[in-house]
Amino acid sequence: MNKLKTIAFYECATSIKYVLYFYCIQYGFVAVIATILAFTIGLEDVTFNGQEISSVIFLAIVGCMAMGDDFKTLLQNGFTRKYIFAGMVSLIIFLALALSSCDLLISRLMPLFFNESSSLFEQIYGTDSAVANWLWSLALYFMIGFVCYFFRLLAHRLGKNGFIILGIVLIAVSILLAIYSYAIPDGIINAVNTFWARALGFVGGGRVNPYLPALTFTIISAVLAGGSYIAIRGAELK
Amino acid sequence: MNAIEIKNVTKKYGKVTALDNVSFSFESGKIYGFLGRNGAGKTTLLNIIANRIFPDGGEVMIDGLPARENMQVHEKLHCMTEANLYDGDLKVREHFKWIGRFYDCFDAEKAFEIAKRFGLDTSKKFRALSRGYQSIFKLTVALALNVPYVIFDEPVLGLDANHRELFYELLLKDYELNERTIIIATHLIEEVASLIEEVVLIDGGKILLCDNAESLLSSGYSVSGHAQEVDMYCAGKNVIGCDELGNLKIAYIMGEKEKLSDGSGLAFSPMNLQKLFVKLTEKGGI
Repeated sequence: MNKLKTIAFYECATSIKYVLYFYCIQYGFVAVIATILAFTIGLEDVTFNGQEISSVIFLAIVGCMAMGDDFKTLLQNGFTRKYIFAGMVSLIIFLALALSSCDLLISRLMPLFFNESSSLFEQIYGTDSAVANWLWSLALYFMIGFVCYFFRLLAHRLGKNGFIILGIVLIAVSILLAIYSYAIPDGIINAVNTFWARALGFVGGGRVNPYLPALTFTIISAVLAGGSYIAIRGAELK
Repeated sequence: MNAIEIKNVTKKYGKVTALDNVSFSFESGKIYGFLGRNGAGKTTLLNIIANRIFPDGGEVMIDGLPARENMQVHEKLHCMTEANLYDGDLKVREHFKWIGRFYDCFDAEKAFEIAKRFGLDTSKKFRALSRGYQSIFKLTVALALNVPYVIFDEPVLGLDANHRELFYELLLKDYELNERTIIIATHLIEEVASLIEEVVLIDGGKILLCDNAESLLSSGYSVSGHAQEVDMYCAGKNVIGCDELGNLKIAYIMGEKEKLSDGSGLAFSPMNLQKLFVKLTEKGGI
């Protein structure tokens, strides 16, 4: 248990500086651009929206880099893949918690500087509930982290050529589905669309349930975490 | 049993068999020279022992415990390899701090002391170190970890002669104070010849020999002289190889020496480990 705590602490502690770099660079740019605009056209007509997008990109990068230095360092230090996986899950949870909390705080502070500002959640669901917003971005970040981690592990297991072939097959299947969609009965297409709309919180009749997408993202994250665990158990050093 | 037991280990990469049903043991408390040519399967086997890759068949046991995905062997083994498996963005002293947290048996004070002796700047990031100093960092970690089995895969890569000497000195001093199993895989055979007690020779994914270094060297010799005379002497003997220069010939022979007749132009010399290695790998075994 102690080693498990150590590996989780290692993953989180060695990532804090990157979170700080990320926010410093991101809001450094925002500050510079806002200052220029304030002195030129003024900030009255400037809007600040969708800061979650950059957090999603940051988490995607972290997920994709998971089989790099950390995997090698921990394997070199005698940890099993089970422990390395636990460390990565801790890292994703830590980053998702940190980024969603920071993003929520920023979304609450931005109206002090800009006349119009809204988070991605507010733009999609039209509600500014802080709890729902935080849960939604937390679950979204979990999911992004696990999607990228899963595909990075898949790429590691399949090798470059295998992963390219898998990509081509997936694209080909998507194109074929799009081309032959007319052959799929409308009932099925409507049922699929309705399912995903509800899963993402659009429950029908113009109503939204902002907590449903968080649940959906969490379920997808759990499935991908399971897939990642299976993939890492057989991952070898390359 | 206190040993690393390798049982029927096979590893294939596509059509290439890197290890072919390998079985032997690294016994406790000895210094092993694990020798083999490039592509012989040394690193593959060491990576399997260290749980970095998995065998297609067979298993490795460390003190009776399976080496595969087993945290119970975490404090038993450390494998230093030529590949850089450390976070390049962390400073040397940060690595020491983390390794101290990862292992109960890491002696950070000893690590800083060894680093000082090598002139390793602990405030530098691992990535910023030269190849030689990256090797020194890895050696330092391996020497400061008090595990019963330490593996060095090409430990002196990129090190100058002074640093190599210092490493061998520290290794022997450490072994004197704390007898443990040390496995050295290297191409610099003559440099480690005086250190190693046991020799394991691997070639083409198979173990060619596994023997005590002293008895192995004493069981062979070389004979030199005119080619014709050497050939006559060698008749019926286990000749593992020859070198020729003009009319002069040196034959490397395994077995007992035969008394030379008076006036013979032949001369005996003891076998050295590097020659034995070269000739055995050429011949494919004793």
